[in-house]
Amino acid sequence: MKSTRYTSALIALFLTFAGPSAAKEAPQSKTTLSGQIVTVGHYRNDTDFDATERFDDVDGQTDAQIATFFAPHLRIEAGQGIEVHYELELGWNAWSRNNPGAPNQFLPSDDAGLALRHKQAYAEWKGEDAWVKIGFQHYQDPTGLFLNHHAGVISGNWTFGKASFSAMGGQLPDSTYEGVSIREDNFATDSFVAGLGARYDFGEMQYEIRGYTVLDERNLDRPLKLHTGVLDIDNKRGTLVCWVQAAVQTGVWENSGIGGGDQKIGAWAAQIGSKMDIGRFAWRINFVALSADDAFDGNDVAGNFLGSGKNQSHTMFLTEDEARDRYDNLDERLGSTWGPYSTNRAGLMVVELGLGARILDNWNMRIVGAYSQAFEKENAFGEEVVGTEIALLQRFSLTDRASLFLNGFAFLPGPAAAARINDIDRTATESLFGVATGMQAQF
Amino acid sequence: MKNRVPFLLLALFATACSGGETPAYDALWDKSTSRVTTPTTAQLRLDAPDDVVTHQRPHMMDDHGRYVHMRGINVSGSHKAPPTEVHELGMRPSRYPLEDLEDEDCRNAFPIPDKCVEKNEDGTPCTSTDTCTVDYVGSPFPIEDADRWYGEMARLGFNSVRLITNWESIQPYKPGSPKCLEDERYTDECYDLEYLEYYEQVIAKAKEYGIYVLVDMHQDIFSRHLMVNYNETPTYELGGRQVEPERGTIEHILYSLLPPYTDWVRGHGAPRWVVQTCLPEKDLNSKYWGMFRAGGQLTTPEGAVNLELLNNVQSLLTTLTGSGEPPEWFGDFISRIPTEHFEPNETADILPLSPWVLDGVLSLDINRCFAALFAGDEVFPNLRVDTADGVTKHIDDATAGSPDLRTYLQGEYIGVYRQLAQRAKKYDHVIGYDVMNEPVGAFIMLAIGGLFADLAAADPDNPDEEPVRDLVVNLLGDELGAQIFDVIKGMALLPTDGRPETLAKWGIDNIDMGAALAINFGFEANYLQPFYENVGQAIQDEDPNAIIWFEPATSIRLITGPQRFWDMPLTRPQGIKQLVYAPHWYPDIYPRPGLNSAPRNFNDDEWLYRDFTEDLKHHLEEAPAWMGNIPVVFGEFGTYFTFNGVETAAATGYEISSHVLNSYYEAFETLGVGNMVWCFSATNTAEYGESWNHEDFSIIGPDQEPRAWPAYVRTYARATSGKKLSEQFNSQYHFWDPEYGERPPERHYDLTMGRRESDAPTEIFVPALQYPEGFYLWISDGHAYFDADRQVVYWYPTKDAPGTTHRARVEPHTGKVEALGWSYLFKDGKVLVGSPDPSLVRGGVDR
Repeated sequence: MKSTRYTSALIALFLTFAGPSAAKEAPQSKTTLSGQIVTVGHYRNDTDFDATERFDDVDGQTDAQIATFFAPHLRIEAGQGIEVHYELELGWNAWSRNNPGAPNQFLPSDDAGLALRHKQAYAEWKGEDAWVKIGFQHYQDPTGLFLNHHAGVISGNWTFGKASFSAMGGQLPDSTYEGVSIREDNFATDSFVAGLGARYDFGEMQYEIRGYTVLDERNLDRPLKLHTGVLDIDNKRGTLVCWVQAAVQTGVWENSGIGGGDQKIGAWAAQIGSKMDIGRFAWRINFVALSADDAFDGNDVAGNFLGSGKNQSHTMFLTEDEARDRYDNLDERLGSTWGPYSTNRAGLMVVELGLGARILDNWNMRIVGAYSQAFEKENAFGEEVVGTEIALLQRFSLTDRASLFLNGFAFLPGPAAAARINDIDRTATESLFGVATGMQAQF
Repeated sequence: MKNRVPFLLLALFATACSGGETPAYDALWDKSTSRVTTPTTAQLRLDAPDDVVTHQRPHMMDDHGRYVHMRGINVSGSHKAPPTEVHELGMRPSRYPLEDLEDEDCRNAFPIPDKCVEKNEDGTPCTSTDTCTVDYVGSPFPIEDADRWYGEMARLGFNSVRLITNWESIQPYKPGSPKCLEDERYTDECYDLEYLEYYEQVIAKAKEYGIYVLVDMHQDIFSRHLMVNYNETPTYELGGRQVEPERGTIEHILYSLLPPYTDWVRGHGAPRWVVQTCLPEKDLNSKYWGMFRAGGQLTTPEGAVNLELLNNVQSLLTTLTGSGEPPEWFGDFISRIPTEHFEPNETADILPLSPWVLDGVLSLDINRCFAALFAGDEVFPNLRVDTADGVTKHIDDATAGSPDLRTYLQGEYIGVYRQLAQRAKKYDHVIGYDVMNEPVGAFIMLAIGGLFADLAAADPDNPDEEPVRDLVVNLLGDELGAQIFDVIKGMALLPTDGRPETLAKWGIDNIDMGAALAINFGFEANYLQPFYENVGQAIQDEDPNAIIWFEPATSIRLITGPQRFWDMPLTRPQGIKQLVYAPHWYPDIYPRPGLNSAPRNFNDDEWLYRDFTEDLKHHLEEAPAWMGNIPVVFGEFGTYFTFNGVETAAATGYEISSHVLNSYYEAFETLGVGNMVWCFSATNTAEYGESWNHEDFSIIGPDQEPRAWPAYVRTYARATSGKKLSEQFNSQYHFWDPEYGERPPERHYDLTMGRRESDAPTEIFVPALQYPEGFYLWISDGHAYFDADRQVVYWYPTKDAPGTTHRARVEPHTGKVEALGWSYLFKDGKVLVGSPDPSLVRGGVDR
């Protein structure tokens, strides 16, 4: 019944905003192709803080690869405010594995070979004060801490002076049994998300608040009802930029606890940061925290934040490498995956300070130092310290749209990281370093 | 607005930092045991749409719709005798309490002096009136020790107990006897209310530890009052020094039969008054009761040495040794014979056979008692139990309307079981009633006795010994045959003439030969099954939820196997709603047949790589072949802990027993069949094991610690929310032929399960003993929690598509080998969550 209500709402939204445009005369279209290509090579001396040879891995402990990622984005302006967007990514084109002579380069993603991903495919209507996007698209909440996903979404925004309002509804992909035939697909075991938001501009200050509701019934008989409120406050004065972001979650994961009881969700996330350019120099600080569960898994309360796994940290190993996400950043490896969400029962805090300098006109260099620890040490085998990272990030601009980069980092793991990462010796804390280099080009 | 932001953040922080309650494992544990049933399935008939076709399913299921898998233990192997009897190292055993254990006569003299036994009010010894204290309260353990021992069983992973009791525990004295009429402890029927109360407390306590209880009315070769004393380490005097004869020699056997006695071989189960009922000619008050029967013949009725017999023995020994001279110890032997003569009816005909089970076949007394119970109306058609005084009499001497032996004995047996059921039915963790342990259904001695009596009666004018003598002489030759016959006759090993007084003394004067022969064939179908039906239906009357467990008999068919034509197997007992077939399984572990023989020796090749699966499978086929596809749980299996000698076994960490047990469990797991190991004993000793026939099976050793635990402390599914498809645990004893580069599968556990049928969790016992450094858990779907205190993983699979197979896997966290892709790591009461639900991960969106 609840699924039916959500469906009705989505159809109503579609008819409201897509209907009038469809009736107008079709004008001449305009096509734009943009995108980026990244080639990145990286090397790490280790992956799990322990030089012991992996029992099952004949390649040993090092981790190194050169790969190319190509992500073209096709934009078709159909006129009368209608645009069609399509983005794909050809990758992970690992040089050591992709073989064009193979019968099928487009192998399943678990196998070696070139994979093709449809990242976005949506239609957009743009009015004077409003827009609506319908289709599979990248969607992000104002903080990016909760939703920062590619998903099937209807999203819209309406601006009234300094205020604007947004709404969205989406469906996350199905993963439970419904067969492969469309006749067997339904809404009974799907995951839906809907949200409303408001933003107000006070000149240098912007406030935005949104609320989301998730109904996830993929876990059969154990629906997750998750309500997330996010707040984003941005301030920009000259080159000084500040952000304060928070998310709070309530809800219930029904029948999921010990004995089949409900787990009430009470979680939060916060991110505070600031950055400033001063001539050839710059500094940046960021603090991000994700709440932890208590020491008892499966009791009546689940306190760990269900989020996107993304944040604004600029570290290479502790958090996502901005040069290219390889899905192996430590903050996500410390936790686990719940459907589209990343979560960590031990909680996590990362505080960092970055100092940058433009050495030459086309040579930028930054040093980022970060410290991380868990909040609930009982969920990290009694340990708190995750580790400390020092990263050196350098970018050499070739043109406005192309640059080379050469980055390196050293990571001093703490015992909380070792407890979760090292699958042999959970006390191993040998230091780890790595380098990454490559080229980025946009068009 | 600016001021509100910090407050908001603070509030958020405070909200999320407030922890929840401690996990509700106690409530979950309460549900761990629930009412178990044996379900049926039904579907509409095509030919008669208003009717259904019903089939029995071979499973046991709990009240939450889960499949329950029995991993049980028999409690206790020491319940075969009451705590009130005396059996200590260095003294002669006694069935009854002794007054003064400091008195050397009371400790060792045989016959036991009257001064040592309890007295009645009138000063007569209790043995003369069958009023000696028989009290089983405190067995298997005092109720105040129940937490300790149930806790230990739960720690070792047992989810069920076959809680042994016996007829004597409940009804120790003859119904209506003065002792019971006067003492409030007993009902007029002589049911021991204190014991029943105690037994109920032991049942109730098990639930706290997640342990199901099977009520088991135990017996072995009928009664502990059918017994024979012997000396384990006999010596004789030769030239002023004590000589210890070599085991297996004739002198070792003969001296074993003489005092001083240190041990006994006996049955257990029925009380003395029942033995008296089935063996009415016996004088159970005889002070020689329990002595080897031939011993009474070594002295003449006048009290002199039976020189004729001893001469015959000497001649036989001279012939057998071939030396022409009597053995050197013979003179000492003569000096130690009993000082008084006693008759065959003053003791039982049990032999101190180390494989005691053989006595069930070779003892006429045991044969007669089982025949009385199962077929007393046919085998002893002229005997009645007089309603006036409860004494077995000839029909002509009994009060009119007195019941035959079968009717009387089965009636009393049922009465006892009703008492148990009235108490056990209150508890939903009672999984059933085992009607009778290992019933004996081979009556060879009875048939021979009946045949002998018939032959003798056929020629009443010539009731002498010639027919028997001729038979022996023809078999063994003139000299040896004659000598052996003379010894047999002299020692009263067999009846040798057909005189009425001889037949009466041997108790074969009222045997119907045809019935005695017939009972050997078709025993299962014609006698055992009706017995199970009578008792089972009575239990069901008391407890409508009862599941009746029953066993095959030790019978001719057990030896011959199913017959090609005209088979008469034990089929599904009728009139009973729920049944479980509970055979026992003891392959090749018993001591070699012999009197006072040594523990079994094995070499490595006899046990190290042995696969018992096919042997076990043979027993499983009984259920679908003849018993309506009812569930099968092996009610007993186990092994001695004395292989190659007690000291060697202990010194090697019970290595052979460990391997044997491990192989048993691997076979059970391969076939997915429930089992209950023999046995637990809180009072196991190095000298006497479970204090019964030198059995030493207890997994709890003399130091009261578990022994060979790596073999039976295993990861396993206590209950599954779907049908268990496969399960295997590899202990350290598992044979593994290494594949280069592969990790040894030591302590790996794999479970596959059909589509979940219940929201209740699958419970997997994961023992801390096997995983002291924690363990990894992989699950195919859903989520799991681990109650470290109770060592139970609760797994909630989620998928419910038709054809779904759920998988779980456990591996140790060793710090030596890498584990990849795990769902959980549990260690020291803490948990790391890896991928709790892979099914959600795979379908997750690209972030």
